[in-house]
Amino acid sequence: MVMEDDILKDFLAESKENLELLDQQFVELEQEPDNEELIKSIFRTIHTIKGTSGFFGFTTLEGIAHFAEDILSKLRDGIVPVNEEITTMLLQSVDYIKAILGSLEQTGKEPDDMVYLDFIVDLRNFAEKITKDVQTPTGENEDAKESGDEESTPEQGEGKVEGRTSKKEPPPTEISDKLPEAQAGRAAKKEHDKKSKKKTPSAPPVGAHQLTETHVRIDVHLLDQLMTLAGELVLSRNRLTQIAGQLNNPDLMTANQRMSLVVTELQEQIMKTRMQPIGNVFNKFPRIVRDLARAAEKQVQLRIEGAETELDRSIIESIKDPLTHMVRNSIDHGIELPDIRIQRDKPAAGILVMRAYHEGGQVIIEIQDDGAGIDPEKLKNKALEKGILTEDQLNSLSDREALMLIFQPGFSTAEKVTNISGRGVGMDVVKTNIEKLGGTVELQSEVGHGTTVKIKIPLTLAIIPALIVHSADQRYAIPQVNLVELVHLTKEAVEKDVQVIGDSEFYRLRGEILPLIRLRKALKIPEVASDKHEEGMNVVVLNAGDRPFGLVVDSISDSEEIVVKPLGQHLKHIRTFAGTTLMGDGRVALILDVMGITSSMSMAREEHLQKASLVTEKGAGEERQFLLLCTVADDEFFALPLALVNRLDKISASSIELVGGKEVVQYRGHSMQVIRLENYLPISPLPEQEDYHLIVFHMNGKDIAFVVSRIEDSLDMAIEVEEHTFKQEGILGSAIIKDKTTLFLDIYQIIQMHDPDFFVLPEREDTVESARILLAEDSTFYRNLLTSYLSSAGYEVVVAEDGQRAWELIQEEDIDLLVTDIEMPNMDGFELTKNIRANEQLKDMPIIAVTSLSGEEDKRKGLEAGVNDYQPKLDRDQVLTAVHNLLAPERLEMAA
Amino acid sequence: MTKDNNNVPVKAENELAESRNENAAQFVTFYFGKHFFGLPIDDVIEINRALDVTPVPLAPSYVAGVVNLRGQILTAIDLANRIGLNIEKNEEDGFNNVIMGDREEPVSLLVQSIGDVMSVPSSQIEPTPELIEGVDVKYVSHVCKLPGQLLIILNSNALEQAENVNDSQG
Repeated sequence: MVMEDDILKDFLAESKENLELLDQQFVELEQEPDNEELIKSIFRTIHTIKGTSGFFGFTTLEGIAHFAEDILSKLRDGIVPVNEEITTMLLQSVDYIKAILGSLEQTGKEPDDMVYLDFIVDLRNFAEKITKDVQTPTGENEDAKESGDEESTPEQGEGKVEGRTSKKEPPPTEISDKLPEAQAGRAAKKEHDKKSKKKTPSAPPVGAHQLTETHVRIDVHLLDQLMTLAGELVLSRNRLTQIAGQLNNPDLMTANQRMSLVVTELQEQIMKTRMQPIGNVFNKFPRIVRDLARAAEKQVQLRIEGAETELDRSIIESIKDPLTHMVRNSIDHGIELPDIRIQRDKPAAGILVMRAYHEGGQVIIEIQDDGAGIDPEKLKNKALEKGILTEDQLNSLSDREALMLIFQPGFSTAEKVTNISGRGVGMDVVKTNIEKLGGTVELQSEVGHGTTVKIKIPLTLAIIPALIVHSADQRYAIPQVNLVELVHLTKEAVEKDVQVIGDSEFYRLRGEILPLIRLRKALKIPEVASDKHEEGMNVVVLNAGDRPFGLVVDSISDSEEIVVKPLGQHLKHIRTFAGTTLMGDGRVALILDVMGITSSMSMAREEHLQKASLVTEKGAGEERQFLLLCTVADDEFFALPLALVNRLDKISASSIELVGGKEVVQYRGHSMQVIRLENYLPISPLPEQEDYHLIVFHMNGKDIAFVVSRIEDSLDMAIEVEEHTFKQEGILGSAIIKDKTTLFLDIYQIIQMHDPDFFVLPEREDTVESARILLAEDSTFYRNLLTSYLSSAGYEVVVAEDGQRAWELIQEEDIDLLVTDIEMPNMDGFELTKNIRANEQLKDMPIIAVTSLSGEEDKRKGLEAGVNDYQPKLDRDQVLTAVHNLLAPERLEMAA
Repeated sequence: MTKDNNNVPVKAENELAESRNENAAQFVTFYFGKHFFGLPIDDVIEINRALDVTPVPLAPSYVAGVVNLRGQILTAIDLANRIGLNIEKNEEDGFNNVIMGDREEPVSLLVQSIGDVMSVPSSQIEPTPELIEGVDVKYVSHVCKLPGQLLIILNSNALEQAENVNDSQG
């Protein structure tokens, strides 16, 4: 219905313009009656109106247009020459058409007036009459052949004579009456002349439904100029606000506030003039999809959602090509051939969804297909073949990162390049184009289930809200879209929660590891000694694609609407800046490109990756973690997830005391046990040093620490370990990191070996935990880690390396509770949960989903699928509490 | 940086202007230390005494920053750095902006002080010698030997051209 309304609107607007043109064209036609082009143009206009009105079922309009067209076709074919009488009749038709359109515009219905029907009859008669006039005396004979004969011979010689004769003949009274009236009517319309209506009952009742001008065609440049001016106005407003704030004059403030409102409104309205529904682009796709599907011999059903979503004109223009490209890819490579689809239990016709919607000041466009999906392994192989990445680099890629390979330049996985598209040729271009618009592209794909490409683009490029920050006495603007939150760390918090590892800094924000980037560092501004966070730290938490990070700035000021101005050719290559803007005081500030900052960071990470080569097993685990690397003795490297670490600290060797056979240190007002790893692992002992590093854990309400000689580094990488080489208590597995064999410490087991009572909770001492837990987890590292702490808590653990295996085990074995990973090959955690909930016998099984990242979206999805609880897998205490709580009712039952 | 250089030194080279004939070329002249430079008048859009320069970190070294010229943001090119002049710069003195280049994307050339508009007979304009002390001749299109002074006519295209863009992010 909405769609139809839109079409109607378009139709009305278009027809109105064309009709205005018609008036002019008819006048011209009277002057040069032989101008074929003119007749053809008029014919086309009327023909379009006829066609469209037929489509909408506007019978009166269709009728008038039909007969007018009839007359015009005779003119066009030269059967009848143009004369004043005909022109008048046609002009009158135009007037009627206008009146009907006016009524349609106002009421959505055709006018309910006999006048119109009368006119149709007149018009029809007239059309017949003029035909008869030129026919041979046989009159009624409308035979095409005959009229054709008539036409070809007499036309050349006699055509003009005929014309003249008909002019000489006194025109039928009815028409001669109308002639001046119609003209008068047209002229008088604007003055609402009611007399003309009275005098000519057959003239359209114009007064009732005037065809009002609601659309104006405006030069796009004019709009752009208006936009620029609005931008300037916003800047002046900002400046004025500043001055008003300084002067502290209440009257000025009030006046300024008022003006502010108007300026904002004005800016919004001007912005709106440039807005167009994305449907303008989407509408081209049914045809494109149809053609592509036929060429590829596939069946594709296109669904368009959210066509009314509005976007800035300039963006609309620039997304058309990327969209076309992605649609091509989906049809060519995503959606399978019908017989293959049937084999895979899918309907023969693939479904392609183009969806657009607003989300948080951005427009999201999704291209979704239910095709074969993209196999990350295939992409990896291809990347290897093409020499884009080395094997080592590939192994450390998560599946998600592997999917992003598709956006690498020169990357094509199409086994054969078809004439429609070779996948990848241009996917990099797609990404570049979208990024140029300030947008991002994400790719989600599931083998066998389809692919979704998600594009996020800003509503408009011209004026954006931004946060102004300071660094080294300069102001920088950060686009608000990237902003997650602002955190101020006091001096104490900095000391307590910010960890410096190697060159990098991290902050623990609500339990999550947040890498910190100092803006000064990103901008290569030398750090002055006095700048050291004496008064704490201002952290701007930003989101750039996959991972949030914290940008450390000197100070944070207001949020402002800024006008984006591009950087000149000398500077636009600097990826750290998205552009410039003018501040209220007339000075320039640079706009930070959050993506650019992270990409400079990820370049640093790639260097790490190049050094890091991991020994892996097949079935790569894709979860990334920050790892902490440390050594006890030289050249013996150990790794543990940074997320488990509460603090890193340094102590002098002399502060370690021996109390009751255990080593402790005085730490933050209480004594804390410290563990020497060599006591539990077959490794070289800690050398004599003046200072040692402590890795402090906080578990079960207590602190405990490992003593090591050096903290080497931290790495953000996918953990995949080899578990067989070093089969040893306290070790989860090993991997080669930076060319060094590195052992992954099983912290829980080591702590338990050191102090068997450490994890015993006082209130739980009496209840012996005896339950069988099924653990579904594809990553060896996490599987071992979870097994370790679950069994140390007294549970019996059955493991499954993927969802499929878990599903088999859960049906065969007697299981009390399921702990499952979300992302797993073959069957993921959501599907596993759904299967269990759908099974009559198993549907009450308590399920805990564990994940390495706690994304809200995943959490929601998990809870929807039916999991009972959702916990970060590294958080032993929380997972155990969740297990305990979920098993509690069962114990009660058993006791009863 | 906002201190205005109100008194633009005007050299009395007007006797040259007297000899103006149809074959004379006009130049906007300016100084940097003892060097005397000129730009063809058609290449110069305007001269602006003092514009605040906002530094751009990570930018090529010849870019002094960006300036706001009535709402249009221009790249400010440090002339001395660009052409390899080795001159003690006193930031306090401020700079003058010679706005030049095409109107779509003009640049601002930071110079020490502004001279006159001079008319030089074409006959006096000579090709660039192979070496000019302290100046990269890549940016010089011609020279003109004036009594007691060499007018170095700069090549605005070369000045404007962005240096080879290799990512300065490093």
